[in-house]
Amino acid sequence: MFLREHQAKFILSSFGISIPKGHIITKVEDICIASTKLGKETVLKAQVPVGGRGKAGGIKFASSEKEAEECLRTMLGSQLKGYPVTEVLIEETLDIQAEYYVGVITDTVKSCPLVIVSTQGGMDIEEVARESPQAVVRIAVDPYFGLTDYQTRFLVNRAGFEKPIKDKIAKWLQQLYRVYWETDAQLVEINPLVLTADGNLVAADAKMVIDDNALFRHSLISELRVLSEPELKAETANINYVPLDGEIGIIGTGAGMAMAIMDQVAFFGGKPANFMDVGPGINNGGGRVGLDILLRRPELKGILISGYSGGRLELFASDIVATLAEHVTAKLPIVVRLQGINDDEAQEILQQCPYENLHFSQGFDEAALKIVELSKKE
Amino acid sequence: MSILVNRETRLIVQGITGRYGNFYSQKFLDYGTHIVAGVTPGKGGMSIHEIPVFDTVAEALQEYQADASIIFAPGSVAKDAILEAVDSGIKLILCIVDGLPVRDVMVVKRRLRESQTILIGPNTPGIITPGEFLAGFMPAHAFKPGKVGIASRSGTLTYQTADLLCKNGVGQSTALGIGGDPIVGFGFIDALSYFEADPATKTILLIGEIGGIQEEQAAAFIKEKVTKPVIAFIGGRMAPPGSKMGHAGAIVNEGRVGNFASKLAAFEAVGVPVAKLLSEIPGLVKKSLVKGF
Repeated sequence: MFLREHQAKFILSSFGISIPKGHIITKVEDICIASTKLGKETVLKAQVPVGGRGKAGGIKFASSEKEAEECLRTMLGSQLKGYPVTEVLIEETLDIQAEYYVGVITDTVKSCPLVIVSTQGGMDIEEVARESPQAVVRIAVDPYFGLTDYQTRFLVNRAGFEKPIKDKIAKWLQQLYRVYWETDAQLVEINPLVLTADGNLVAADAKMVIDDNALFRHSLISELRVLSEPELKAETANINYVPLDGEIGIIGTGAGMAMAIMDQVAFFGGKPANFMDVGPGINNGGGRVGLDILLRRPELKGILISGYSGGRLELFASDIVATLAEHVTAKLPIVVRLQGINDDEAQEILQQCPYENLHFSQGFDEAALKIVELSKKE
Repeated sequence: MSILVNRETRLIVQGITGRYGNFYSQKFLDYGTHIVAGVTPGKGGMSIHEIPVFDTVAEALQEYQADASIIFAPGSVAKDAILEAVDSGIKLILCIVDGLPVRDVMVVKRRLRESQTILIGPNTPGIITPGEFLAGFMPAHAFKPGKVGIASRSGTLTYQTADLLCKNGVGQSTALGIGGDPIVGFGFIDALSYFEADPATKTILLIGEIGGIQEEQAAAFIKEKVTKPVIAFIGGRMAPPGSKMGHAGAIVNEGRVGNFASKLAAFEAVGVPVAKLLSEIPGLVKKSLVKGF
């Protein structure tokens, strides 16, 4: 779960980390309330759950309430990196003396947390890491013992912080690690961490990704989640759906299977319209929800349902038949290929389906070829 | 011969009274897998498919000897179930469960470092030594005994590929899924070293996918340590890029990108043929069997 900036900052501040004064605005009229508290100079930041926002024009500076209002008008309701902007965070501007970088991330190769620090924060930190790796200091943390004080001392010294700021940074690192561990984050990143002219540290921007699998023990955080309707449906049915720009809908039983089907369709010249894994929900109506989501996309020219499953395929087949019966106007070609547990029974059920443009295929490759050919006739 | 499991392997099932534990235990028994006991907290004293159920692993092991445990407990309590099995001295744990928090897996892996236990998974489809032992979601009829060792990051592609191989007259020594989660126990390198040491395995098939750097690590290991022919498949050429992990994501990987191109290049550099389509795999495998032995 990728938190929006203001949500991440709210969590950081609840752990004692300083953040800029700010307000969330959803209507242009609310600007007056915010600017009376923040002063003339403000920064406006579109709240979308994706990185690279600054470079995409999602951050604007304003020097008067009028200017801020104009910014808001263009931002609210616009699209940024594929996400609609419905909230803008308006904040006080900071008098910046220096910009640092601090972050904690799960290192899946070493299977432990990794703490990263640099005196050269800002948008170009990745280049810094590439070109002068010694300027970005990292240390692996033993999950048994957490981040130790000697490790933070090592980090701030090696990164080149000087007194008195280095003791403060060391303290911040401990707080940041606590946020990471206690919220089940996979990433907590403050970039830039701003040193203001009056010597205070402030988290000017923050990014947090929370482990979806751990949300069951973080009820407050999971309430912050905003899902689109298809996303919500998919999640409830325990299927994994990622929409894409193509024309051929894909339903696979298993993530690896779904990816291989996409590759196969592309190999034969088709363009996959999505990634969808119905594997985990296959015994509980996952197929019904999955197919329904795709049938509601009028731009599709065909759907391929392909799988080799350890789940009960006869239930999946009944879901397919029932869903097609609900979509009376649908007529795009659908190719089905199912192998695995109870596949004979599944095939019998599908043979009875009255849907006119339903096709069957035996082989994994043939099914992909078939849907590509059929979709070209559409 | 085979790796990790065979007809002698004695299995316990943690979570045997649950919907999945119950259903799949019957499948394992049908296949000939030797299940000695089941464990479900609070259900001790029951029996399922005539298998005695205990409250704890330790109590089960007082009465029966076991070599392996398969875990069907839900993700929220799976950490506890794995630690219980490790502390009881079980040598092989199959964690079928998905949905384990990554933090829990980090702690579990840390515990494993101090033990002799092997953990396969979490989120593994399981393991099969055809004709001898099955513990997992694999549809049994997709597999038959033979000379190819399969290690895969995807469950369904394992079944699909094994089925394709069988139709081309090629069986498997052992096939296992290493699990689809970001952090897993037993990985490609472990699988390679076991298959290399197994006399029954003549060719090794790795089914990888985008993300992580296991394929790249495997390629480096093959160059150093593996003498048997290895064939690879990599899923996800067309897959959308995963969730953005901020700048830290780029920094932590230090240029170890883990995308389709880097994996393909890594395998090709060490002479491992990579199948473009699944249907190419049987041909590549057969060729290696003729050439190698």
